[in-house]
Amino acid sequence: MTETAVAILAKAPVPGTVRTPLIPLVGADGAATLYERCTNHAIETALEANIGPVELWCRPSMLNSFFAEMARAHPITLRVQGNGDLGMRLFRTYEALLSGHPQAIVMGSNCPALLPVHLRMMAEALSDGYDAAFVPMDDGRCAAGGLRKVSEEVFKDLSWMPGTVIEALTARLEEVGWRWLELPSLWDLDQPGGFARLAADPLLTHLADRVFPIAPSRRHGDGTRPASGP
Amino acid sequence: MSTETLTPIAIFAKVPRPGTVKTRLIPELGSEKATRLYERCTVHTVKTAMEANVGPVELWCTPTILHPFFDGIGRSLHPVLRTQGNGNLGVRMWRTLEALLIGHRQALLIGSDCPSLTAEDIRSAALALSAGNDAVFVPTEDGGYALIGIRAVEPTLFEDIPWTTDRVMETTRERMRDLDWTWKELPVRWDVDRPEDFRRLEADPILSHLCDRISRRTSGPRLRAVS
Repeated sequence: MTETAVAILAKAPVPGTVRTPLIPLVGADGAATLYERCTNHAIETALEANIGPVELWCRPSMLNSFFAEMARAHPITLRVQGNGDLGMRLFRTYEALLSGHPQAIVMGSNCPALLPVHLRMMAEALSDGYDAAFVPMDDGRCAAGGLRKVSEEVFKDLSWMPGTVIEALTARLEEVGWRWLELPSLWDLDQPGGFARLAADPLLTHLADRVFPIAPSRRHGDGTRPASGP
Repeated sequence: MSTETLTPIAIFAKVPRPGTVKTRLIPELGSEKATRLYERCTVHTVKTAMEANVGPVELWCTPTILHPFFDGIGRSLHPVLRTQGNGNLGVRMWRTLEALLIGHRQALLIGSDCPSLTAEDIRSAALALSAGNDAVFVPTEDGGYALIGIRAVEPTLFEDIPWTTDRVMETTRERMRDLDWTWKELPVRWDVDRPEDFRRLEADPILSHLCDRISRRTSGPRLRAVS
């Protein structure tokens, strides 16, 4: 199979800035812990897929002990994301990956349900001649996307609002005349009930280990409901 | 484009700590300006390698990648960032090329002291390897080389080489004759190491921008230019 480079987009896990939808539920530190574990899990998933080199793309800087720890613990390399909105950062990431590899997948870390086999299916689709392949999330955002060529047209001023990303993306792909494969959508951690689902999943519950929902009285009044199973 | 036709490039770079880089220029420029010059040469080299567009560009850093300078290059140019690890220069070069050759048929390694190395040199080097040469070099005027490209790692090319002398290229040629290797040497380039190299850089129409605001240290009263 054609080599496929995999980039995992990651932010420095500063409490209060990551996994923010979960902060009312598990607190800023708990959310940061979840973020670190999910990033580690995403790296393990990408390595297990065994389709090509795995890179951790860091933001706003790679000068963070968590990134150094990941680079020590796994056979991965680090790169630094550029400035700009998500669309431009994605475009630059694909551009850099595709200058060194025939096809590339970019993924986040908010979808622990993403399996190595999903990445393998995307890589195979690209080898088979699809220009793009992606795994949507239930809220309409994208868990992972693969390309074998890149164009600024696809990413420029794309809408990143939940519920509209996949729609906007496929509209763009149609405009540029690319063939794409869309895999079934997956649940993600930031959606309501996501944390409970993580904790209840026998294969993923270790990611929630010792991260506890904080008492309702201590929660911020933003309407987040106590986690309940699916 | 399949992976096999790509030629990855590693660039060796040091953490730009004043007093440890471009040391032979310190008497002329002072350690701060020598460091600025080192940084510019490194950025220039990364840009040149990307412009060559022959494969992934990796910045191999020592002693660590955790430095704002590498972070800044990473943010603007997106090279892969890797740590060189321990060992003398030969061991580190050997290990780097070995890593690049996993999954690739050929690989290049360049230093960051040689801004006269061009993107065209890098493309020619990749082509020389694709054409079947076992190795390719860009020799430098001081008896070293600014670029090495190989298709297989052979320890004798990196062990017991007198790295800090003018016999690096010659010793390497002897080793390749012993190995019965074929190799190609591209046009000779020049490193920026000594004060006379800096003056040459200042006078170079294409590269003089690397010297902007890094003037030589003058004795006597300084003139302040009003711009």
